[in-house]
Amino acid sequence: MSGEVVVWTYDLWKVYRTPHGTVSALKGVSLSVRRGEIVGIHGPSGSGKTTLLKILAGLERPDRGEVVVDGYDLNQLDDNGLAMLRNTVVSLIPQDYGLIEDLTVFENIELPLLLAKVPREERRSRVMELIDYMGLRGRERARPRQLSGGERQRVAIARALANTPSVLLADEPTANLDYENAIRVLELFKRVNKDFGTTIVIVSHDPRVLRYVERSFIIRDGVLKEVPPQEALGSSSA
Amino acid sequence: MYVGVGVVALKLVLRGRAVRYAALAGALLALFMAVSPSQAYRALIPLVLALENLAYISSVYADRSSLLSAAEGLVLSGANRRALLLFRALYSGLVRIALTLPLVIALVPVGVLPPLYMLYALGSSPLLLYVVERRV
Repeated sequence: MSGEVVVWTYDLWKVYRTPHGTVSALKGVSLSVRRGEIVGIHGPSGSGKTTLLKILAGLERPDRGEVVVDGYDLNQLDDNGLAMLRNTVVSLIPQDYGLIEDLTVFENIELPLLLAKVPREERRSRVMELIDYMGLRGRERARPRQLSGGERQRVAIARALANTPSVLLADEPTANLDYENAIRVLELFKRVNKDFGTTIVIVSHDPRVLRYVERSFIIRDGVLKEVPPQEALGSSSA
Repeated sequence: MYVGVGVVALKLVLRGRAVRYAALAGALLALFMAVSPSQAYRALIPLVLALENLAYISSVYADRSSLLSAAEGLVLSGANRRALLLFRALYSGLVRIALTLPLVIALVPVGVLPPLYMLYALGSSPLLLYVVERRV
């Protein structure tokens, strides 16, 4: 693993305004992740985990603070720049997988390549390569609703990897899975990290994730801090 | 990118309810025209047009989860805001074309479809889609 920092945030703040007042989702979050690392961010529901991922993926902008992903200063990018970033540099896998229900497995995985104007033959071979890698051969023509939770998660990971991003962000990847599928997905993240050198940030309150990450952070009431795994385990069950 | 969102919109419409509704509407219109005297067309035209509007709204409403999942999938895959606007415009336009096509085929030859109806249908569909999306 090189020491190059690929995800860097400094003093991130995010406040949501609701009819009942304001909610501070992030309060001065600073984070640094080196290339090729797998890190876990743990914390109870509503602690700011998903907000942090959305900011790292360029889906939301912070109210204050700096975010740099693979050399791109996200505050300096316009809508087109952030879209390009999501297409090629950083991929987010949301908790509900974010698959398009009326497209097949093949078409879902092909989508980022289609948007990146990759030629048809190249798209086809890349998608088939990912389908084989994810163990989805034979399911190319299935629609997401015909798949199990574990298969849907693997399709989402395949789509996220289509344009070989530097950073993969996974929001509660084991939340909707049974024990066996959860372990399988976590093993898959480990394999992706090893085979492609992808930096992976897993946000979860599942204590099983701790066995697969190199460093752990806890986030509580919008405040992030690095902790040893045993301590993160305590926070996850909160 | 824009070609990509066009491809997704087309696939969604072809696999959605609009095409099934259009096939049903076409069959009903053909049956009606086969058994009714031509004077009846003119009397029934407001009802047919009202039904077409209803079919459009119910089709996009019924397929709203598919539409929302597509928008989310496109954003995650790297579509920008302009591409999403184009996607919604294309989706609504294609659904409307699918639904008005049986009307055009059946009623234009007998001269009872108001000439400006197609223009109204295509022009109003993005707005109706927006209203449906806001309501869910």
